[in-house]
Amino acid sequence: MVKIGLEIHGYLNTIEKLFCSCRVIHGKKFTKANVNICPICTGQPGSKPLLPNSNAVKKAILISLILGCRINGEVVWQRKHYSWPDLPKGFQSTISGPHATPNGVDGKFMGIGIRECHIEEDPAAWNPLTGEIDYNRSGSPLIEIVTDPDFSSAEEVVSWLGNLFSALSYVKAIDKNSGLKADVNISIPGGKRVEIKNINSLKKIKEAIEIEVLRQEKNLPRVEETRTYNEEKKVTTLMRTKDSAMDYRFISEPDLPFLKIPEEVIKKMKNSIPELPQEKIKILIKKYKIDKTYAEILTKKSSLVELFEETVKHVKPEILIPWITVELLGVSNYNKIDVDEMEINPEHFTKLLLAVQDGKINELKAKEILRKWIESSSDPSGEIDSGKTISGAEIEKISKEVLAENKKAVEDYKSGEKSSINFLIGQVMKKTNKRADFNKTREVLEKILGK
Amino acid sequence: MGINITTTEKVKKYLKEIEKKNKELNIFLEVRSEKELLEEARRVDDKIKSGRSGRLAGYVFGIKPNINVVGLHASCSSKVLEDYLSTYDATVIKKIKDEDGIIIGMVNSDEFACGSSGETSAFGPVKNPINPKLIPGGSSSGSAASVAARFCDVALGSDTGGSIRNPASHCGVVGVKPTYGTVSRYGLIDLSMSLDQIGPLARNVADAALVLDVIRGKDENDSISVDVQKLNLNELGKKKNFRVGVLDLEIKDKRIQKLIADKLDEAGKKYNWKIKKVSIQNVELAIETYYPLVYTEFFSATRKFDGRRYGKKIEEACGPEVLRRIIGGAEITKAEHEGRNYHLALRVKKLIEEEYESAFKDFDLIVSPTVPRLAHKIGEEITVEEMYSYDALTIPSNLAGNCAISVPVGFVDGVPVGMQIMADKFNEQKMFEAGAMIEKLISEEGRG
Ligand SMILES: [Zn+2]
Repeated sequence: MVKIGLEIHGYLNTIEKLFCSCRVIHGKKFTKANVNICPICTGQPGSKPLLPNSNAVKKAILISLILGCRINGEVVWQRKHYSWPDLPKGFQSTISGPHATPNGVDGKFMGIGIRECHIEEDPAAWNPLTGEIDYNRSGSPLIEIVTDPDFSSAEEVVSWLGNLFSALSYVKAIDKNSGLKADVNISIPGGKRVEIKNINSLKKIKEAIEIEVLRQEKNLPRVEETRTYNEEKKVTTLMRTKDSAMDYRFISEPDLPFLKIPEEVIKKMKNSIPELPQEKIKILIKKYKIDKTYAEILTKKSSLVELFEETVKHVKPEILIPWITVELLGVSNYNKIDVDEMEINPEHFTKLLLAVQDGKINELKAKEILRKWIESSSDPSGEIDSGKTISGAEIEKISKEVLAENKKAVEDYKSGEKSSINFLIGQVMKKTNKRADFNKTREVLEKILGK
Repeated sequence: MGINITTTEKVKKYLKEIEKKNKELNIFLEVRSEKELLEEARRVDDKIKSGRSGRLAGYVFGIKPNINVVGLHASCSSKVLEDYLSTYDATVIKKIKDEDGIIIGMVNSDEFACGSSGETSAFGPVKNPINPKLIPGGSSSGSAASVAARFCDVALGSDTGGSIRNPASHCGVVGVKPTYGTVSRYGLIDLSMSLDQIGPLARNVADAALVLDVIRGKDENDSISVDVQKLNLNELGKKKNFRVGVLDLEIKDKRIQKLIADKLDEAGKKYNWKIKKVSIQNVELAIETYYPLVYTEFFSATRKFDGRRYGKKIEEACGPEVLRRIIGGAEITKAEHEGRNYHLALRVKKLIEEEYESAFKDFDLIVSPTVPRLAHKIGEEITVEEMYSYDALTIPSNLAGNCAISVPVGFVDGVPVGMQIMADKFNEQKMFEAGAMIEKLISEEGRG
């Protein structure tokens, strides 16, 4: 059987960097190069680290707790030395290596053993083609999660990673915008362990594993080696063998004091962890009697489940569920914005859906309001008032006008082409500025036209 | 000092002295422009006149070139960083500027503070102003020499194993190694992070105390730094009873040992000090403990000088002493050694620290010569072991993390000799009080 283990790197969700007060904002999409920098994160001679960002340390412990790890309250920073253009200090600050006690050890998450979790800092971004270095991300806090080699297929890895990220997004510990990076180690029976470095998407991880397993089956690895995945050529290529492995010359960081996180703080954090997706699914099904499929969709994102639980206090679940799983997610998909990033105020959402539930406005009008809530929601009261549905008598009056103006459609309908009623409904909607109730309009039109 | 003479006049006088003698003594590597300095001095004089001046108004500073001063070269006296212009001020520099001190320029030193004689600078050795044939000591060679040569009032140096006290002793000036963690190291280019401290060198104890009082204190940019109380400078020079331990250690040069013993004896009689011998068992391990720490931490600290960002690759551009330490550090930190030497050294450091702490339960001060040897002639060949032995009596204070001052007490063979007065951690007040009393004793003898 194939044995696969992972080393996963994710950005901890913090405002500031690990050892300086620079903002954690990087990537071409968000900012220009070399704006969020200072003497510390650019490693100027004589600069020293500030005390580590306590939010980063807390989040690393939170993640370790979620992954069922035993927590080491003692935080002893290490210097991991290597020479690379992206590393301004000539070493990386980390809580790993032979003299470190990682933040968390010996965990288990969804059947996979967790060897350790630790924080480390991100290097800068180096462009080998231009030689340019962007220090915006230098010193950002990363979490590294090391699993046991408990996976046996690419599918298993990908589905587990999906669950991992949804669990971590639940406690807002990971910044998903910045993506993930993973090193994957693979061995097949009788062969040595091979590590593939730095793969940065689920899709590539899956491909790389499948390709590497095939390669190893054809050519059993005799020595441990490190490889890299070439996405274009769909091959893995050799970086180095174990013999030429790097010596990082770890030493404990002399510029930082020993820090100890009190037992009570860890206990408190443990108690504050919300139910994670797998537990939440069961709770939703039991408490609100909803379908498993919907429960799964709702629990994929912490923002969705939070919105659901708030709104369901006032709105019936059968009305609420499609409005979240179809309409809201539709808006999110259409605008290519993560629903966690859309700030939907449950109060606004409740007001909107109550207006639908009570027939104050029709669904079309409600959807029109919802579609404007791309980045954040706003109080819909005004729009609800001006968009109130009109009376049956008024619908009847306008329907008659529409029928008179659209003789062709009426003839079509009468000659059996029933779908032309949709056109007529559309015309009524247009005339009433979408304030007519959809079902009511259909009813009125059918009555006038005669079944 | 500073009385009846304006800052402007003083800066002019110092610039003239530097102009006249710097070529020979090789003390300053970089002096700021006269125009800029005089403008700054005039501003300070205006402040003094209007009574709004800071505590260091009228003081002119020389700065060791491993301390960042924005716009000046923190070259570390090395070819590696000869073009490195500081982009920011070290915390100590900020504090000096805030209190109206004037920085006249950057002085010479041993390369990357690696040396005990002032000879390892890539820009040539500093000469001892007392006798230009002799070494000034190191590594803060230029700092001590600048004060002794009257090129400035005070200087900042850094002390990792004696680098302030050793040249202070050889040049006949006062030098202070503060308690580890009391002065921010933010902006100090590292030698050995567990040991480095910035401190003042001055022509008298009071000036050194004033400068230290300004520069010390907690700084969030140095996570190791701690807060301290203000010094009471009015107490300096007053008569105090102290329990003094004399370090029980035979040194080779009996003339030095005798000079220190005689002066301490006189002080004991004059001030009614209780003087007893004190032996520190582990003091003999000091040098063996010190070098693994320095090599390891220096190796780590210099990884950033890889030629990609700041000038040249250190291994290619440095001198032999710097290279020796880097190679030593690379060896010690090899994975196969599992960190044994470094961690063993850290453990012995802890032992020495504890031994001193317990000694200071019985004594207020521990006194010894600052340096067990006289300054040698510049260029004279001495072995690495002999060179390292210069620091045998100063290193223990760095390992123990406590404070120590070197105060000039006379000459042997025409070469200045300093007395080292060590006090427990955070007891700078006692250290300065005793230092001022010794200083008074010597100056009264001089007059008498
Ligand atoms: Zn920064």
